Amino acid sequence: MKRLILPLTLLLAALPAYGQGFQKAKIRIDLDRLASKAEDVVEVTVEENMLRLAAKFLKDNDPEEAAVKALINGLKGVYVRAYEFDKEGEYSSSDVEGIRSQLQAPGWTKIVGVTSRREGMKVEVHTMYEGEKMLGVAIIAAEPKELVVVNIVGPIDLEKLSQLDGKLGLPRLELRSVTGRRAGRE
Amino acid sequence: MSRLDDELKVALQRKEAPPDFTARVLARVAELPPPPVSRWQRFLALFRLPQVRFAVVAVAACLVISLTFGVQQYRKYQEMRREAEIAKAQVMLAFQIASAKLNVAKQKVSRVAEKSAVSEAMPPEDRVEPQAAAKSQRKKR
Amino acid sequence: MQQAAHPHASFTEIVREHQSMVLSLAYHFLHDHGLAEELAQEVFLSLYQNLASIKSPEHLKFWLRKVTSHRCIDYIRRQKFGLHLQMSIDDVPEIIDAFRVPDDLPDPMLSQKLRRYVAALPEKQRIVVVLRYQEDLDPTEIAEVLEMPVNTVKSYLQRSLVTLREKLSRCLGEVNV
Repeated sequence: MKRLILPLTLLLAALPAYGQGFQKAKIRIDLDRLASKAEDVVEVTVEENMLRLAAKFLKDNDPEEAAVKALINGLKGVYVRAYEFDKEGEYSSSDVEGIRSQLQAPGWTKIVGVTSRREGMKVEVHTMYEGEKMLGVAIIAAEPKELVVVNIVGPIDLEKLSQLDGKLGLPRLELRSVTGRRAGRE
Repeated sequence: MSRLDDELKVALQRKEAPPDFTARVLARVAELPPPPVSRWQRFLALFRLPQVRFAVVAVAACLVISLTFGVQQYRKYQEMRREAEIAKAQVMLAFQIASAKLNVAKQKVSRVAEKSAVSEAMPPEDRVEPQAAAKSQRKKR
Repeated sequence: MQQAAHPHASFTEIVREHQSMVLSLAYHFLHDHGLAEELAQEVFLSLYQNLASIKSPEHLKFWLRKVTSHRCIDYIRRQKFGLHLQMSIDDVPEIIDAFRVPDDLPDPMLSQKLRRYVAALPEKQRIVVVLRYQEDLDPTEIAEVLEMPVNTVKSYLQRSLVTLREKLSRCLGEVNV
């Protein structure tokens, strides 16, 4: 028993650190001020306990739900803020800078950066790794009338995630408000 | 009343029973077989036993507690299920959005990669260097 | 019927209180001590098994009279008795005393003679007479006990008395009864 005390103590001490590692991949998304200007708003905040609960009710015999269940496995949080505006210029680059600056911190790596001046679109995909272990992903997609920020904390297979597009019973590239909120009508 | 009536009353008056008559009756009563008891009466008789009554009360109390607990658990489960369905919908939406944006980036990257591949496939003399291409474009303007 | 703390003790008291009535009814009907006691015992056994249905002391008396009466009648109809019970009253000889009692003195044998003549009456008349004169019941009460119409009871009573008077008159000469 005495021989186990030290390893156990070290393990217990490491547990919060384990949690803290993933927490480094969580970014702060302060875009609530844009909600009042947006025509459509999507706000998703699903913490680890709710992810586990959702996984219990995802059907294994449904291919799409089974795919989502596999992706959820190991995740610590899923956060989305998506705003669709009826005209251009409703948000500025400074609104997005606060988020981009967090993604400049050590650990984050931009794996994809796409800019289309013709379309006025910019998409960035950032990942954070600790050694071989993925800690999280952040996606910023900025278009003239749409701004989307996605933060997934935990290990996720990006290839499999990209394959879900159009398969989850939702139309492609269309924002739907989960809360049913309409900007300016509350 | 006639004399016959009187005489009949005297003749037919009650006589004392023998002293041991009662004992003989009781002796025959003791020999009587026990009355048949229906299953239902036997079942009901069980409830006269204090142990059975206690057990019945205990079981009834347990049932009430279990039922109350069961109802509470069911309501909790229903609430949990509702929350889970909401979380499930949110996660699926989040993944859909993330997936869509990833694919936008992938498509753009693929398009650029295709252009580069086409350019590299051209004979060197037809290749336009980025800087020379920029110059020729300025001249044309 | 309220039971004592020990139902058996209560039943014992009931037997002691009503044994005389039941035994006498049976004896005056059957005119045989042995048969009367056997029948009386059976009546009390039946009472023991049906005690829960007895509602009051009056009901108890009624029940005992009724059951005893019906059992007596059934007994006569079912069993073969000694010759003297199978005889009809017409066959019962008048008892002629060798030593005649003077008319102005009571006949000590009269009761015994009456009992024999009563025991020889047809069973329904017999039980009516016994209930009338042993239990002092009126015709309505007798009708309830025997479950027969009141007029039938009165008819039986009248005929019985006529028969008994005739028997006595033949035995005693002319007797004012």
